[in-house]
Amino acid sequence: MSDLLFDGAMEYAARAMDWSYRRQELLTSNLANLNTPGYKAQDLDFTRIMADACGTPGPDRLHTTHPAHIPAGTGETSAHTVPRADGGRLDGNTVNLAREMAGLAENSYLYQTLQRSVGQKLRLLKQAISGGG
Amino acid sequence: MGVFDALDISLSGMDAQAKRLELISSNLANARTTRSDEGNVYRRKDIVFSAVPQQTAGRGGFAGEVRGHKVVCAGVVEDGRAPKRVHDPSHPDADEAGFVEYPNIEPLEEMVHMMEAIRTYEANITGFNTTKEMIKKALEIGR
Repeated sequence: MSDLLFDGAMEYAARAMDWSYRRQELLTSNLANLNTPGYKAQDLDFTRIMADACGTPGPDRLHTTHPAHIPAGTGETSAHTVPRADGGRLDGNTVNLAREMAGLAENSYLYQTLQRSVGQKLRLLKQAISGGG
Repeated sequence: MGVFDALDISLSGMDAQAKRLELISSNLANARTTRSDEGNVYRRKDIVFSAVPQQTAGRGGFAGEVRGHKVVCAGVVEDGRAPKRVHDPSHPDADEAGFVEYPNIEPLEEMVHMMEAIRTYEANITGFNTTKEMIKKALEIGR
């Protein structure tokens, strides 16, 4: 039986939307703290998120050896947050306005793309339920 | 930390800059004020910002996870710069030598701070609007 409709794509997209929203929280924090001395701009480490999602073993990661184990660390924002060290100002603040604004636009489009793909998947389901009518 | 906390973070940024603008206006308005309640001459005021981590509510294994930083006003500080001494013996606040102490406020400096505050305020509005659009989009799923 073909699993065209329930292939997990919707779940992946939903999870990606969650990450995208978490990035939004970090980007808005960076903007709010544009003038806070010593504040380090935060961003998500997508390489690590991807590695975690794919289950790539890492030296600093906990592994589940039993199906009943609860995976530790995955899905946590703090574990995937990296402070941006470059481009610091004299007051120790590393927020770069242009970069945050670009990130905001990029993130917004990513979120919309994911939202649309979830919508399309649902539309497919609806079509199948109604017999293509 | 809920869905609307990203909006709260942007709001805290706008709020902080608005408070900063109040102090800048006060500094400009009192550039030549020789009398105030604290002492004789008005002192330039500045705001101190502090980043406050926003944590997830106590539920499950991810409780206390930091998911962003709000900005709060930690306090108002007075500038320690010495007042400008101007020779004006006819002024009622002049000392025995005929010097009047005026606040050490540079209008240009205040204007630069004002521009910075306005730009940061605007950046936070943009952040707020993008978050709002994202929440709106999420609500459209399945429509």
